[in-house]
Amino acid sequence: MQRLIASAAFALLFSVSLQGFAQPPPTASSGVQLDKTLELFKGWSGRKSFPDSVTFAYYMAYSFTVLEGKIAPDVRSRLLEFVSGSQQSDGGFASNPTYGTNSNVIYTYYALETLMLLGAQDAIDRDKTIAFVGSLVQADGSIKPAAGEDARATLASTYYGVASLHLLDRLDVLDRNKVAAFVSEHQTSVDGFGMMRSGAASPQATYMAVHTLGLVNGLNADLKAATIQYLERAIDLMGVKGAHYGHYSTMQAATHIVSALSELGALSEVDTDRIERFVTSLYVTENGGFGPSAGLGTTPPSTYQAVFCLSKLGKIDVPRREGKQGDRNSNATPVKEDIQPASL
Amino acid sequence: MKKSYKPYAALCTAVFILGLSPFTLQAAKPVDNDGDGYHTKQDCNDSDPSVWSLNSCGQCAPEPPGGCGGTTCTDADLDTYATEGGSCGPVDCDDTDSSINPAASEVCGDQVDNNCDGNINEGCSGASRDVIVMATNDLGMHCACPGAEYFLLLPPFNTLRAQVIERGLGSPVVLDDPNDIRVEYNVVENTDANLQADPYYAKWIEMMPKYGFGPALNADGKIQGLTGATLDGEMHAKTGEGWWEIVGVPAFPDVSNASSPGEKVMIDPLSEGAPDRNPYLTGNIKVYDQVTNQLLAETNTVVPVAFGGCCNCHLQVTADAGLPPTPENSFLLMGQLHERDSGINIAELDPDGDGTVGPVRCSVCHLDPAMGESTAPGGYTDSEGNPLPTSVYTFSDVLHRWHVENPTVIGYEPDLATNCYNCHPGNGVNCYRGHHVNKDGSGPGGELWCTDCHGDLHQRVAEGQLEAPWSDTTLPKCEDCHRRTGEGGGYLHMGIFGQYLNSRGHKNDKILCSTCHGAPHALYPSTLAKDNQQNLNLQGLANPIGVCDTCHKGKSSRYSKPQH
Repeated sequence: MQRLIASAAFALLFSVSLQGFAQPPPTASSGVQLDKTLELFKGWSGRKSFPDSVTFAYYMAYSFTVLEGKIAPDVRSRLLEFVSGSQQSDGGFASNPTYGTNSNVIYTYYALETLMLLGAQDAIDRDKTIAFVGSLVQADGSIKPAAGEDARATLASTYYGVASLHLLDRLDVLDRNKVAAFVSEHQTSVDGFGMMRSGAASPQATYMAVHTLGLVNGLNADLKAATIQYLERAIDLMGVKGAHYGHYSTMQAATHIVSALSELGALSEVDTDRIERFVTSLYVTENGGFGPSAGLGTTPPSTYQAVFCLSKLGKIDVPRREGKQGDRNSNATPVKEDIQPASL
Repeated sequence: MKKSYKPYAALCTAVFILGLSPFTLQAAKPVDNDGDGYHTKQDCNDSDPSVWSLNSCGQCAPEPPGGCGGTTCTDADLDTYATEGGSCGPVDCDDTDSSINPAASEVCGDQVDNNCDGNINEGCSGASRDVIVMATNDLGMHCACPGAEYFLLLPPFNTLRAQVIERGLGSPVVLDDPNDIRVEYNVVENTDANLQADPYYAKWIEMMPKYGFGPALNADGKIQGLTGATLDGEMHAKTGEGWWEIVGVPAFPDVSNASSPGEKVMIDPLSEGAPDRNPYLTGNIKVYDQVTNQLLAETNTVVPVAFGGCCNCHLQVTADAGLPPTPENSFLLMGQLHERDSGINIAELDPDGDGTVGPVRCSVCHLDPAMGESTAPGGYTDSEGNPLPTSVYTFSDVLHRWHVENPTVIGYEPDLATNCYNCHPGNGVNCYRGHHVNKDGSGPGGELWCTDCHGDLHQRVAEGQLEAPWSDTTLPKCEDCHRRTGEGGGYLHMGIFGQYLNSRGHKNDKILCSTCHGAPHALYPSTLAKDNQQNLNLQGLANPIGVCDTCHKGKSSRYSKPQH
């Protein structure tokens, strides 16, 4: 789903010169002020250590794109320098250019997504990155997170690896059937997916599975239906304190639920009002950010996740994407054309 | 030639005229120049009325008090009272000040025994003392782990600090003499009864001896922490340094009715449907006059304590591994992972030798200065009784580095290195809630995030900071951003908890920085109203203390930045 959003965002950037910028989100009636959220991101971008990590780089790039329709040149420059500088000699990416040289598929994925948003996919050594990810592909279709014997392939690492190869236009490196089989082994008895085989279902694992299966053509109607049922039950647990050690009542969980439903084309079939209420309940009025769960203050990841969720729920006026059918943007989810100012 | 009798005649005539007998003139009246009753011929010193004859020492001087050859009485301040006592008379308890002697009147509020009776301010009423007290927690948040029957990261352990200031004496006086005042503390929501009824805490009480910390109940049957501190009691004076402290209060997030539902914001991650808890307890501080036992001042501060954020992730991982997500299974899984990486399965250790595994304290093998230890104590053995080595990695190092460098962990949480809320402390509790949070993003520096002060975890690992955790070389310094704070001036250099916490400033370095600015992570004005109440009471503003009149009575009541 993040690939789809990235594609839409990229198209947005490309289309800016033709259509003009999206206006800053108006003040919402429920107290959520997305223009204040935008100012928060701008404030974060002024910090000395900005963007701190390749994951934060992606959050910033995405959020600026959605909230303002653009990334300011100086911000873009800093993001590009940071992300491209995080590429290691093995072609993979570390979290940042300076500290730690351990590259893995997780940071590689976020780096590629960010470069996509910046329109700078060629700013790095793509061949090396392809080789890096390709070197981690296992015989059973899974993908290890990093080199080394101690690194074990999981659903998460496989998702990040497959998604990275998709961004690099090199899914041909994979045996799609094997990937699908590996991922399918993580389906649980309650129809969602777990991070490990025989593990408990979670929104995070379910989204990762859905996205990966979608990329390797591993989704069938039965699987979709079962997964949608699981996600509907997950929505019912949103905002329920203490449920499943709080896992469902987090912004991260909401993001994964929304992402998965969007991948499955089922977002309009579920109680999106409940999702929206949960997301906006985590708004922090003091600075316009969003917290990761009830009672907590603003964090950069949870603020990005809120923007993502509200955008997918049609609550942020994202300009219509443009692009040819059949190109890389063809999987982009069509945005609403009659979006109203956020009724938050 | 004839003699002339005229002069003699004149003299006789004069004598006759003056009524003087020629015989009287020959015998004149004796003179007493100093008026002491002894004339010149009798007085050894007719210019000193206090002496007229030689004393027993053969001196023309008053008789010495102890007699000639007796005790020398010292009266340096010339108030007629000597220091020696005995034959020298009542003792002058301060021979440098003539206003202090046995005949003086006691002056209230000056903390001096003016009349040398061994008491200070006796007969003085408490109303005559104008005293304020300002208190803070030391760190802004503490963690206390549930599941003590299996393992322990952090025990119930909280620290409070206070400064007491007496006003109205000219310059305010910082009071730190336990003979003068008594400072009492009480964690309001935590009572012995409440905690003993708390199932998690009950386990801690049971397990505390097994960890080698001694009994959880003292001789009076009261709950005590690792330092012996109870839930209420007296703070210890840092005499000469100007502050009071109680270290190791065994506070715990409150689940009882002592906290209102609105205060219970902490989620219990261990049990589905378990009641929420209050992580922001009330520390009530009272100051009493030791002589009159009158209450001089009172304040409330926040005693913050929450479960750490480990549980959420670890229970999820336990479930993902196909085990029921319980603390016990989480411990078993961790044991297996620990064995994979180090060869030691901590879930198979029986430190207390009672035949059942656990409880295991991580810091036995991995040094944690926060436990008050300078080396890892060691002492665990394997199943065959062979001693297990302590680790070269500190607890902070191994915990943070392992998590941030493990790609499986990163797959769960890609932001681990930069999103401290993942673990600190989680469960709906704000660790970072102070003034720095209130930035609106419009300033030149933008928003402040945890990593702006503490650094990204990758950075900290790369720089080896975690090899020396909790040290003043690795903890944040205000002067990294704020100039001329005075930080370091009067710095006590305690070596743990950093410079801010132990620095003093403001006029001869008498005031702890935290007294005016608040606890770390809860700097005034805090986003938690409870943190701000003390300053609101003192100066009408939640800001750091900046109204001079707060301590300097009669000075400005306008808010401004004081001298640091």
